[in-house]
Amino acid sequence: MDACRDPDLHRIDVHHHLIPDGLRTQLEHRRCMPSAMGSLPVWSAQDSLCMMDEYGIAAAILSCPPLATAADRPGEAQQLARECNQAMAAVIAEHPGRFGGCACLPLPNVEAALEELAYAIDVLGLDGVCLLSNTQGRYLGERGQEPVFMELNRRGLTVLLHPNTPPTRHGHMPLEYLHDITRALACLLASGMLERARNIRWLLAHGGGTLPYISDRVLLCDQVESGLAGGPLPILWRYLQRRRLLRRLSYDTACATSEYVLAALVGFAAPNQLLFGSNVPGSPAPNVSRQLADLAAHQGLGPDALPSIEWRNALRLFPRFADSFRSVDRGGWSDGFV
Amino acid sequence: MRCLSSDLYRIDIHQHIVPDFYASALMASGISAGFGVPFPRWSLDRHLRMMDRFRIASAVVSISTPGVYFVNHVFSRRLCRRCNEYVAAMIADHPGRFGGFASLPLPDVEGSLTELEYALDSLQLDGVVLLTNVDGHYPSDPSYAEIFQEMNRRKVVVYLHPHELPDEGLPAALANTLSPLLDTTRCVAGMLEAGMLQRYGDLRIILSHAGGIVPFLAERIASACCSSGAERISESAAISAKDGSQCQRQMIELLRSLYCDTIVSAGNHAFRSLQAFAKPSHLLLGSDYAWFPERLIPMRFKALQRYPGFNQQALADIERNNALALFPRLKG
Repeated sequence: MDACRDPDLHRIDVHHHLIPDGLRTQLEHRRCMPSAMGSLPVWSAQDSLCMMDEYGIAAAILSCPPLATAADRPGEAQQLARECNQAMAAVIAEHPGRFGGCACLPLPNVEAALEELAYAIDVLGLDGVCLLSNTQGRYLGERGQEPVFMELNRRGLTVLLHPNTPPTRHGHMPLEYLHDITRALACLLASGMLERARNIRWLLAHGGGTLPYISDRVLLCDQVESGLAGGPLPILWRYLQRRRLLRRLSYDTACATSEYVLAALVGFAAPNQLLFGSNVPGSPAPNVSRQLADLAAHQGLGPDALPSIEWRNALRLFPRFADSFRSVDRGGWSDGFV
Repeated sequence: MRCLSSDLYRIDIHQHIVPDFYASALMASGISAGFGVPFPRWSLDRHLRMMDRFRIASAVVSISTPGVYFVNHVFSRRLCRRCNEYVAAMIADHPGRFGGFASLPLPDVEGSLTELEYALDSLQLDGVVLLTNVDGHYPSDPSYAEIFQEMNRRKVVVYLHPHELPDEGLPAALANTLSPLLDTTRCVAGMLEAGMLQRYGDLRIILSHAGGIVPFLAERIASACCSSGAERISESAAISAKDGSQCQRQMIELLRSLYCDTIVSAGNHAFRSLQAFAKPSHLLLGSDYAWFPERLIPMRFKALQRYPGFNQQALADIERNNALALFPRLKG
């Protein structure tokens, strides 16, 4: 299918899901699906490439959808993670320069996650890791997960923090799902993990979820009780320290460019912290046009901001594409692109 | 003593009282905190001095979380009545200084209907405070329909205040800070989806803490409502379920009919989102005294004044005029 060729490919889509066939069958048999994903379409690399060509996307960073490693039987999560990561690597190999990948890890099984991490990065050559905000109610940063974070830190990897359905009975799902990113970040802050693993290059999905509107509460999340008893100085110091940590995070723009969201997100995050992401196929491809139009129209973003958001910032987290994008700075495009 | 001098001008609609009898009754039932924060020591004298200090002409007070429903209907009705009578006495003893939101012993609907009538007709309180949930019962619970019909008939000002939800799945320390905002948002999303904002269009509903996360997520809440509940909504609103963007616009307008106090949780970033969402006449001043410490209140008020997006008129409306439109008797 070469109907949608467009030579002007200058975007990197950092939030693009892959659904391997085998996984799709398995996921459809499970009872709870994240409502934000809707029903699972049949996925093909060709469909993604067509969409990418249409919307000027040179490269898409793949990740598997949440629940990719939801498993009932022991060992099943590891097997599912392995299948996803191998499928990802195959797509990358088959279409050189068009895809990258963030690996699945079978958390909360720490040993299995470490094993899969080494395989995904060293053998399969994937670009980073996708961690879910919670797996079976265990949030990122909770006790016991240190070896995984220390290894991610040692390797200085890019980590996409992606939401997963939280284990609440009362929630309004779309809202709970987005807010789960914030819960995970609060856990990472409170446990000290975000600070200890400073070499991790974090990429928070969906503009950080609810974070831009409630960031002070997240920064102070575990300080309230002690703050009311003790003096303000230690609290203030910790607040400022944590706020500095947030400045080092990146946020993708998938489903995060509507008016009331951008009003907070731009300013909360500097333009060099925002990265374009489509959330395809979780979101329909035509949403990309709307998203790009929203960003272009936003008054808080100057003309220089858009190229940064569309590709330049992504090169920091996914340096694999740096060479092919270098030519854009010199005005040309297609010459430098493999 | 006539207390309204030209020095005092603010009207703060998010202030709480914690009378001794209330704290004792709760502690006797084994409750000594709300959202992990121990009961503050409260006195009326200290409250009035705080108001003078921060140039607050009038405060519309309420009993905060954990509310008045405990043990059983009998206990709760009694506690609730006593709280409402206490607030009425405060109002009478200090003319012009206080307004009051009546507590109701929900989920006891029968008791709440009785108390509503008494609080509004006999005690002449200014509105009603509702917790966003009580033990997992949200306002969208079908059993609450009668109370909402009656409040709507009376065109009540309803103040929604967050309450804890026991099973958040997060460590308590984290849940306590984040879940107030989340619960307000859940509550509103549920009400929108149940068609309540349309059905009870004569209510004036005030959300705490800058709307929880409602302003920021309004577009998302609206679109989820349209795609999942379109049939339900279209029955009552006579809008075409097939017209997605029309539905989206109408749902957002329903959300924009809500009032928000200006206690933000992310400084100017949050103010920008709040301002983009809210109607200028629907923003109100709040401090969350006495659960929020007095020494930090200047920080909240200054943050509002420093936000460059509000000019002098907007500030005056937020700090006083918008509240007077809801509570004209505080004009003084």
